[in-house]
Amino acid sequence: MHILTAILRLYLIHIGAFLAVGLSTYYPPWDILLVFIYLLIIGLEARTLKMWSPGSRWKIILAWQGPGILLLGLIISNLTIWDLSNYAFFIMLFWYTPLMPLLSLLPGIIWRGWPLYYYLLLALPFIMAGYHYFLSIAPHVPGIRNLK
Amino acid sequence: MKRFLGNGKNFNLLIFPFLALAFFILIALSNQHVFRNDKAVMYTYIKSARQGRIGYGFNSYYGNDISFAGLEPGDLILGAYPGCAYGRFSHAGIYLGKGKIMESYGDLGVNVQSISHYREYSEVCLLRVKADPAVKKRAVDYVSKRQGAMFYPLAFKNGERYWNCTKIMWKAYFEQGLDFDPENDFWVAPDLFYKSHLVEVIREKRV
Repeated sequence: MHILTAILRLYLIHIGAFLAVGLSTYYPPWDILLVFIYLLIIGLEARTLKMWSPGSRWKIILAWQGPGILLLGLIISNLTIWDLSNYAFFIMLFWYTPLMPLLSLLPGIIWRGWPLYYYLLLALPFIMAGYHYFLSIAPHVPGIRNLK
Repeated sequence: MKRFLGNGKNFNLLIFPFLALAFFILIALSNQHVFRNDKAVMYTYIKSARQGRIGYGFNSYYGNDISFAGLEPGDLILGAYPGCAYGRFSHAGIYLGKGKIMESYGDLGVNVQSISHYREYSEVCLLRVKADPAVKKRAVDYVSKRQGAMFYPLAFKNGERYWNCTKIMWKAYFEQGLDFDPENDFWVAPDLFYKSHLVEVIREKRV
């Protein structure tokens, strides 16, 4: 599999999950089930990269999480021109729709003026990058079919 | 089945589009009235988008000097920026008393703010819900218990894990038997509160 194919697959899965999870929020708690399917499928995709070099793996992961990292940069830059920072947060909420149901389960704790989900959302590019990388290097788990 | 799905790699790509289509069909079949309603929020938004308007409008500090005198807990506050895509009003909140309002916003979730922040809007409207003070108190109690809950712009009215600025107010009164969305749309636009027969306008001001 080519590196671009691996990136494209992650994007297609993510966009499909965006639509499916977004619509499933109409029928709670189906949205929570769909998050776990999303994490499972991302995990299976990561497993297909276990024979790849660390450099290739990171290129794929960074390309996949690129939008999230870019949006995070816009948010923390606090750009007021065209209200960019504010809109970036809205877009980030949309971009991570496949994981929103998990954030929605967090308790309504407010720390330093922001709710818990705010911090976790900003951390998601790194959490997802770590999740993908960890599964791509983890040793073979008996019973899990290798899709390579 | 195997022929349809191909190998596991194809399954990974197909599962979510298939689920999205299934959920869309379920939602569409059970909400045909929304698709037939030309005043539905989604159509308003699409119409605005065609005219180049997206989002909540042109955010700035407009210094609206409307008086907040005489507000009572349970009253509703609407704020508008010019060019809002989903109607005249961009934002909404519910008055808690003592100069505080409860609202739901992107990075802050369901949160308490000073009412003075509504001075940033070019248009502000104060609404009184025509209901018994006990009903309004229960509505205020309802929203107060949800502080810190998650904001999601397209929060459907179902469920209590995702909120936007209007859903929290709609739900707080819906639980008390007052429905600000009798057309049963997917979402509640701030304008619906303004147009509802369940409220009277206390005052409004455009700068």
